Amino acid sequence: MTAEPLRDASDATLVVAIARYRQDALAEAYRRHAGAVYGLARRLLASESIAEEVTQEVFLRLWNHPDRFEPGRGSLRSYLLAQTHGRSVDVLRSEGARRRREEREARATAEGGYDLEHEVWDLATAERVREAVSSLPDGERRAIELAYFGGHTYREVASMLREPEGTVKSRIRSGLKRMRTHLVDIGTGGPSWTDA
Amino acid sequence: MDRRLTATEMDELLGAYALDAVDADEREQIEDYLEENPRARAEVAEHREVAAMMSLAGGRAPDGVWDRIADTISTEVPPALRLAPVVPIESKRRSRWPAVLGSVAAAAIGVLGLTVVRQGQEINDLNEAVAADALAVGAAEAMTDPNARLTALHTDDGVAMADVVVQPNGQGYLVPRTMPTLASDRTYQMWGVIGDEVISLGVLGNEPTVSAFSTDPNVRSVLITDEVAGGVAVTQEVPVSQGELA
Repeated sequence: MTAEPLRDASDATLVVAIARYRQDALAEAYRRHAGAVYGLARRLLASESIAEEVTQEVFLRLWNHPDRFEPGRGSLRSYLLAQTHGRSVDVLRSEGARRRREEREARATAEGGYDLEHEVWDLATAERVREAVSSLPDGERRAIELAYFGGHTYREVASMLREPEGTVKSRIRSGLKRMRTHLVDIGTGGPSWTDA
Repeated sequence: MDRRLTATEMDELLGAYALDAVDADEREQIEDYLEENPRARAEVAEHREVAAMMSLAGGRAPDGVWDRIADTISTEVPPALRLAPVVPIESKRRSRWPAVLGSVAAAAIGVLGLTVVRQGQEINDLNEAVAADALAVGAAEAMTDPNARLTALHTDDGVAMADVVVQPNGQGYLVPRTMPTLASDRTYQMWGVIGDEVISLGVLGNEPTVSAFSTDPNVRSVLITDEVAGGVAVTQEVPVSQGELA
């Protein structure tokens, strides 16, 4: 097959090309999305080496199973980040990693108080997203941060925040909906990744 | 926790599920629930898009990661043929990432599978694939339209054959889930019940993929019949599946 220029191809086209074993298509997908994948894994795992492993795993999975990406379900980036988050959480919830995380959190608490908000957003660069998050009621924002960036289950979040489990799961859901509405209202219905 | 969650409880957990913040047994139940509920699947997809936006960390992956990936894939020999699992009719397998928006996805999966299958036939199907993607995306968008009406078309045995969504302007999509391939001289045909009339909404072929159609926005329910190839003006067949739009 003659190689086609992929720099301007849509993500959907890239994935089709990956299914045809075009390594340059995977390289282009990596160019666009590896930074976000690695950044999320590193944020969750607090380990550069494990984040690298997860990044490698996520892109190899795309190579081996491109059919699992469903364009009708969302963007390639959200798919890759969902994969990254799921894999990172699996790692995080393994016993050894859990101990390390507890030690890390205990240390952070001892050193400077519990400042997850700062930790979370020092990596975020999108002002609009930041604005959307900051517009959330405090309870919703903290529940989402702890669940997503902390890798905690909603039950764990409820325990940490000393709130009923039902309250926390409702806040996570309503917060995500509120963020989406806010992002749509300010014209950020979804990012365009082709040029990322 | 082993008890069965109610639909309301699972709806409440969709946000936490999208963030991987549920326990394993809850996750399994929710994934079963998602297979039967297109609106819930669409909601999870929306939550994950928001989560992805929160992950905007920028930056680059460290040098060396791509080299390791390239080394790994360059040693692999592509299989001669790889068929995509278009619609697993009786499969009970639950993957970590299930076929959320399953039938919409089936179109894309089918496209990808088809792409590989046709590799040796020198058919340039990239453009076809993208066109099919656009249809799938249109269907997904319709499913997230809060004003759209949805239904799952079920057989008498309770098997969900397809999802149908109709937007207020009458634009509709059919998204197959488990529609067995018919003989080449047969076709599926879709019908809408509008008032007291049963109107043909389209001939779907013997192996339907995601399809768009236009209808009276007041269509009340949708039926699928098994007809002779080419379709019929008036059906005499018993529907193989049906559903009420809500």
